[in-house]
Amino acid sequence: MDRYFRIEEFIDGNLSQEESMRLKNELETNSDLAFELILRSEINKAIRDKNLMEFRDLILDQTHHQSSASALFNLQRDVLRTWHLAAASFILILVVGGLWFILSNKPFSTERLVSKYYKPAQSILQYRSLELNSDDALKEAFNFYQQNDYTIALKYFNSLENQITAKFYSGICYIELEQFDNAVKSFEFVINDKDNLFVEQAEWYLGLIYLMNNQKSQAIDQFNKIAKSDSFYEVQAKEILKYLN
Amino acid sequence: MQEYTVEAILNGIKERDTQVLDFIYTNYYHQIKIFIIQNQGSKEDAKDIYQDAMLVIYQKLQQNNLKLTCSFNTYLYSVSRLLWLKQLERRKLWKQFTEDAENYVNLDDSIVTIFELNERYKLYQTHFKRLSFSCQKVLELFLARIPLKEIARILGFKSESYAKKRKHQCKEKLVNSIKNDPEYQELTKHSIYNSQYNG
Repeated sequence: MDRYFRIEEFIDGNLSQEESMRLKNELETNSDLAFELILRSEINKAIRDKNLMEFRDLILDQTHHQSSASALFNLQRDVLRTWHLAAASFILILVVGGLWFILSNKPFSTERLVSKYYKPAQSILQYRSLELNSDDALKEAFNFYQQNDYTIALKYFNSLENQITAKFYSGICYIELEQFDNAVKSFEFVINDKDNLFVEQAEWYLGLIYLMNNQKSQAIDQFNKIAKSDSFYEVQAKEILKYLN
Repeated sequence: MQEYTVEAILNGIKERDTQVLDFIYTNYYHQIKIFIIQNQGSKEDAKDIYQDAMLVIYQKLQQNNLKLTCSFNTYLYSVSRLLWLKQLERRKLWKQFTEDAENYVNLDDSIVTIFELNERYKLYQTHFKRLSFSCQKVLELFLARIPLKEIARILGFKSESYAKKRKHQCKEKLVNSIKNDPEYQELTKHSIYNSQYNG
């Protein structure tokens, strides 16, 4: 038996008592083997530790976002230091006026909302539903999807026709390819099916598509629907409604 | 901005509450940055150290292993300070360290142990995410203790034994890719993880 395979079998609890004892004795005298055991066990723990992965991503996002905001703050502070108060006030009036003008023209504010709230759905990382069932096309589609190759991923998703998982992810691909009408069709298909795990997400992305298309009244209707439901996106929908109203 | 008690801050970190995380960054990051910049570091170093310190605190909270005897601000600063000293030591710059004016508490070795473990986990997770979709799934399902028979059915493998073979192949691919990464060599060289086996 290959010695690494034996270590894996030991970690997985597949060795007999006798084999385990033999390996344990060997570990006491063979530091390379012991090192290998620790490495392989740690890798397993790291793969299982989704919480840590998610927290790291959260902190990364946060420091990135906050440092951009703080750069803007520093710029404002420097401007105030350098210029006369009157000149700074004048700039402030211009900036506020400009912002009011921009914000009263919806494309800018909806773009900001979209950039704040839109992220393409992650591919299924968990054992989520039995729909993963043996579809090679689906596996291929996710391969390309994870590499952000949405054109090829879409071909695979579409080859699965009315399969719900594929339909949902085809919607995301269409968004990424800016084919919003097709994206709406995909999400509506998922929503009308009702009995699947992607309905809440499809409702959410439908709202975001309306924002992307500057269809404000449809977006308000859609986010109202989400805000009044028990959806995972209820709070975010309410936040968006505050901006839109 | 809303104020938080120490308990609320610790609970917020544990629960990954973004408002609490924003509060911590806004109020406490600045002094960490000043300390690092005054001690041979850059703004990027400061950000990295802040992130590492928060991860260490998160891990300690997950293990129910954090009892504060000082303010959260002092604790976060102390963890960041210790991690930066560790970095200076790695970069052989520790002699240029300037004593700092901020309050800090002395911390035990568990901070450095968790930090080094987090560094390795980050590396393992990065390599894991580079595996093919099929490999990631087979390993995830296997480690979630889904029976091989079920894994074979979900992933469309022809048999249980093929699922096991595939799991083995994927794990070997992952282990080899980690071992061949120069960062892994670097991490194990510095890590106290090595000392367990080298006497």
